[in-house]
This record gives sequence, C-alpha cells and structure tokens, in this order.
Amino acid sequence: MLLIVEFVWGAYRVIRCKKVSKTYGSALNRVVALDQLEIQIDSLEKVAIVGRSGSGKTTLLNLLSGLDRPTSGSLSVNGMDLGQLDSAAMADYRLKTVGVVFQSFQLISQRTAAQNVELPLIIAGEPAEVRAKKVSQSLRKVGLGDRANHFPYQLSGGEQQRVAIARAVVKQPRVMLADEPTGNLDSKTAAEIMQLLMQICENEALTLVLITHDLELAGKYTDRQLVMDDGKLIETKSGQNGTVAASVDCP
Amino acid sequence: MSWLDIIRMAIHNLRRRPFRTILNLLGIVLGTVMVLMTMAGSEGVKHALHSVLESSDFTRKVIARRTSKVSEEDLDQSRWKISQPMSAARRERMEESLKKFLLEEKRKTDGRYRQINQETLKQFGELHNVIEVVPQLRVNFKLSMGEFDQTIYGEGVSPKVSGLNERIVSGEMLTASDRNGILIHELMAYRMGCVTQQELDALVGTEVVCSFKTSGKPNQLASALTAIEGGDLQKLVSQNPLILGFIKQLGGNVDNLRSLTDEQKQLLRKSIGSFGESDSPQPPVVERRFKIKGVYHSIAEDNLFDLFSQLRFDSKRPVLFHYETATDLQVDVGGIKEFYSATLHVDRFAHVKQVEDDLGELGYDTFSARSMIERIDNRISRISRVIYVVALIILVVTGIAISNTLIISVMERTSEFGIMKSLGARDNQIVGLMFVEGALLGAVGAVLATLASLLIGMFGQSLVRDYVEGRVNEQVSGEMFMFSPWATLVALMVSVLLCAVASVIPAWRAARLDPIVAMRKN
Repeated sequence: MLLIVEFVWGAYRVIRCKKVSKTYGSALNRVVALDQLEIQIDSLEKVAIVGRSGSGKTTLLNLLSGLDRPTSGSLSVNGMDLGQLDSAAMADYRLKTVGVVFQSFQLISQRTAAQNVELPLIIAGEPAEVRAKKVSQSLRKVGLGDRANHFPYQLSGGEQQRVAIARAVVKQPRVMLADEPTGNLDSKTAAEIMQLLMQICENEALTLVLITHDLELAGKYTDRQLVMDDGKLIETKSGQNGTVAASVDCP
Repeated sequence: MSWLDIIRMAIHNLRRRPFRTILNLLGIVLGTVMVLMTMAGSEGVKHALHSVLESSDFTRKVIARRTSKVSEEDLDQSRWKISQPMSAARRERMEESLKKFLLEEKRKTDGRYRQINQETLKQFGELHNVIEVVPQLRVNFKLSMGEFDQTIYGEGVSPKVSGLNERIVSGEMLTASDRNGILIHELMAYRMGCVTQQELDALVGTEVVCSFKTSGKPNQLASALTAIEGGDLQKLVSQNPLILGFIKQLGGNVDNLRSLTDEQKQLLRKSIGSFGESDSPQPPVVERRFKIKGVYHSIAEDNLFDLFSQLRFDSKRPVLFHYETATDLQVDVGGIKEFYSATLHVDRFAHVKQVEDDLGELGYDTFSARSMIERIDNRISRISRVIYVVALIILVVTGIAISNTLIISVMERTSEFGIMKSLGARDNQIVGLMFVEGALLGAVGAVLATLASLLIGMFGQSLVRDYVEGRVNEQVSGEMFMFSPWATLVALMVSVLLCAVASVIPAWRAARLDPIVAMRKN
C-alpha cells in the first residue's frame, strides 16, 4: 500500500532534487554554487525560487533547464534523471520537457517573431504546415497575432518577452522555467507579463518555476516560494500572498 | 530538423548577411571561373588549332629522307667497349657517347645509303593510307623570256596536294595533266618587270624557254661531293663561293700539283671539268618550252605554317613544275637517278603516325607536322597545368577565407547557437547548419561561375578567334572555349566540396559552444 502511495505521489512530483551540488572552478578557487540542495515540486505547482544575487538560483535554473549538469546528487524532472542523460537525450529533454523564458528574452535578432517562435518546431522536425498553425496559435495566445512578421528590434521589451513566452509554450512542455522574466521591464508591463505567464501556465497545465529576487512578486503569483542563500534552501513560504511560512532544510 | 529546414535556415542566414556572402561568392566565382576558363580555353584552342592544321595539306604530308645504312651492328665492338677500370655508370655513359661518335664518323665516310629512287617511290606509294608520293626534285636551268635570261632553280609539285590553290595571285593552279605548265613566284614576276595586277595577268599564258644541262660523263669529284651532300651538288657549290673559287682555281693549276702523278692530274682535270675553265667539252644543253599558268605567293612570315618550313614553297625556288615533268628533267635530262627525299601525302592526319611508323620500319627517317602539333598540344597542356595550379591556389585561398569568415560568423552568432541549443538543437544539427551554409556558398558560387564562364566564353570567342586566325592565316571554325560537361561538373563539385570542407572547423566550433556562455553574449 505504501509502495502504491509512493509511486502515485512520485509521479505527481515533477521535479525532485536530492542532495544536488554544483561547484565551479579548480581545487584552488572552488566556488560552491549549490550545496546539497533538496527540492521537490509537484505537477501544476507554481513555485518561485527567491534569493539575492549569488544565492544559486540561476545555477538551479540552468540545471533544471538542462543547460548544465549537477556535480553531485540526483536531479530528476518528469521522471528523467538529468545527470544520467547523454548529450542527445539532454537536447531532447530541452526540446520536449521544459520551456524557458529568460530575463533578456534571448530572441534571434535576424529572425521575425514568427520565425523565433517556429525555431523549436523546426528543431523538432515538425512539418511546415503544422508549424505555421502552432506558431500562429502561440502568437495569438500572447496577444501578438498581428506582429508575427516583426523583427525583435521592431518590438517593445514587453512584446519581446511575449514572443519568448510564445516560443517556450509552442513546443508544449511539461515545465515552464522563467528566469527573472520581468527583470528588464517596467512595473506595468511586468505585471502584464506575469499575468500572461500565469494564465498560460493555467491554460496549458504547466508546472511553473519562477526565478526572481522579488519576494513580493513571487508571493503574489506563486503557490510556494523557496528562499535560497549560498546555494542552500533556507526557507519555504507557502500561499499566494506569502504569508504562511515554514522553515525547511535550513542548515 | 529536416535537411530541407537546414537548407532553408542556411539560405536565410546567408541572405541576412549580404555583404559577407557576396565577398565569399566573389572569391569562389573567381577561382572557379579560372579553372573552368582554363579547361575550356585550352580544349577550345587545341581543338581549333587541330581543325585548322588537320584540314590543311601541310599536316598530311610526311617527308621521308635518304638515310645512311650504317647501324650499330656495323661498328667494331672493340672500338667502343671500354676495358679500363671505372665506375659502371661512367662506363655506360662513355660507351654510349663513343658509340654515337663512331657511328657518326662511319656514316660520314661510309657512303652506303638507303637511296630513294623510282623503285622506292613505288614502294612508298604502296603503303597504307598514302594517296600520292612526290619526290623532292630540285632542278636548275636557264629561263629565257624576251630580255629576261637567268639561271634559276625549280621544284616539282603535285597539283593535287600541294596546298598552293589558295596562294595563286594570277592565273590558275596546274592541273593533274598539265605537264607543260609552270607556276612562278610573284617576286620573280616582279623581277621580270610585272608590277601591277594587269601586268601579272598579262604574264599568264606567256611561253618561256628553259635550258637544261644534260648529264655528262661520270664525274668522280661530283660523285664524291654528291655523296657528302646528299646528292645536291649544284646547291653545295652554288652556296659555297669558296669551294667554287677553289675548283675554278684548281682547274687552271692542276699541273702545278707536284705531288700528283700524271695519271692523277689527268683524272682530277676530268673530274673538275664541269666547273673549271678546262678544255673538256661542255655537255649538251636541252631546251624545253613551258607556258606560265599562274603566279603564286609565299605564306606570310608571321604565319603558323612558318613552323613547317620544310613543307612550304617560297622565292628560293621560284619556278614550280608538275612533279612528273620535274622527274623527267632531273632523271632523264640531268641524269640524277636518286632523290634526297620524298613527300608522302596521307589521306587523313590521323593516319600520319601510321605512315611514319611504316617508313621507320623501312629504315627511313621521317619529318612531319605531327611532332610539331604534338609539341603545340604539350605546350598548351603545360601552360594549362600552370594555370590550373594557380586557379587551385586561388580556390584553396578562397576556401581558407571562407573558413575564416565562417568562423567570424560563428563568433558573431554565438548567442544564436546558444539559443538554438537551449531550445533543444543537437550538436550534429548545428554542424549540419554550418556545413550546409558552406556548401551552399560553394554551390551558388559554382553556378554563378559557370554562368560567368559561359558569358566570358561567348564574348571572348571572337577575340580569341581573331587572334588565332591572325596567327595561322586561316579561318577557324568551331568554339574557342569548349566546356566539357564532365570537366564542368568536376569543377563544380570541387568548388562545393572545398567550401563544405572550409566550413568544418567553424561548424565544429559552433557545435562545441556552451549554451550558457553563448547566451550571455546576447
């Protein structure tokens, strides 16, 4: 019975982080970015990773997005142990499982909004007609149906981030990772983007991991806030307003 | 990512950087055009020259020469075998040189020749692919016409294959049955006082008297000199005033040669009788009447046919007879039964080598334009090879430049590749993208180069044709630039391959990029 509960509960947990450490540099100038980190995030949960600069939150996002590998420990997303994946499987993971929205948008300036959104579908080898349909739908979802043929430099910051969200969503991932998605935007636009992100995660049934240094923003939009410092999880806050707090895993 | 999408993306990337793409294309086009034009030009010029030369009578002629019968077997081995101690290599060199020297000496003194006579001419005529055999006939005689009275040389020609038809300035060419007609050189006509075309035309049909000396008694000195100079005693003496002076002087002073016996003096006096002012009776003179059928001209000095100096007619022997008439005059009147050489007319240029081989088997040395044409072909091929090397160097340098610009392109597009990798692109897809970009540059460059080559070929055609026609004084048919489909395909493949190879290093660098570092550059 316990095994069944564990199995169901395990499947329900999308992200499992067990004693994950990440270090950079050689023995002489070794930097510990993550130190024995333990996190578990459930499916459809909206979690914020909060912390000041250098706390290790972006390193965690790099590991979750499959751009980097842990030095030790086990990190599994959607049942895949990222430390065990080879280069090709890791590329597939980036393509199919996670969608990432970056602070600096990371759009290719030589390609139009539609072409940027189309890129993951091209990489996935989708047929042209399917791509066109999906791109059009994604751009409509973020309210840029009429700006498809604009280049990034022809769009405002908020619009560029909308394109980035459309690009992350178009490949229908399980997990949405957002690294300071409003960091380059004014407060009004930031609020719009956050509302859009939440709405899309809701509609598309995505698990959201939001990286931010803004505890208030995190509390406003996410179910749980994980506070990090020096590569460790020092505090967990729950609730939309961030009022209920429970200290876990504090060293 | 499908290959079609990779190609589309590569085209997109090339179009977004037009200036760099155009510069790269220029390099590829330049190199490929050079390779294509070299191939097409050398083939075209070779073909044009062949078409001119092979259609000409000159190139279908083979001259067979009288040759010495002396061979290596006639040499005494003890004279060239070296027994003294020396290295094997030096012994071999020395023996070879000695053999050649002794052979040359023996040939000079032996006097045994493979003669060319009426019998030999018949034998030559029976060789495969030979359509006519004309002996080399050189006769001297006195030509009289009104006040003009001069001793000159004449030569026999074949009306059928002389190649003179295009060089008649007035009158007409001799016909096969025209035994009493002669052709005279325009310089001689000028010396006869005919300057204008009307005067030349008036000269045609005029009768001239030619006086030939008949053969005298056997002349031992003449025979000896004939043996040395290959039968052309008159030429030897006339071209060497010192010998002529010596003979004339000797003629009057034989008695003063004290070392000779009376019998020897008498023999010497008889021998030099025909040259000296001796008391010997002059041989009788035969007069023949000929009608001037036409006036001909030499080929211009800057003509390619100058190369074949042994095959042309010019002002040195200004009167041309039908060769059968000339044979009668040389053999029957002059008493010279053997010829120094004979010209064999072959049906096609392609058969010239076979005829030369057959003559070689009979023991005769040969001369033809074939070796000249082969030399021209070899020279064109050699020049082409040098240009190929230059063109290939240009292509390789272009390849390095393309590689360099693609590396710069990778550096510029670092963030783009980082983004692609963060979105799930595999390393091999990034490599494929860069590889296709390089290959596309090569393919587009090669196609443009082919079009440019065809255009240059079209416009350059008349220029090169004018040049070649100016050199050979003949109308050249056919293309001056011959683009062989296979050679063009190979050049295109080389261009594409070179550019694809040039993109390997940039592609590898792009694929190895760390996406986190790469995206930070955005």
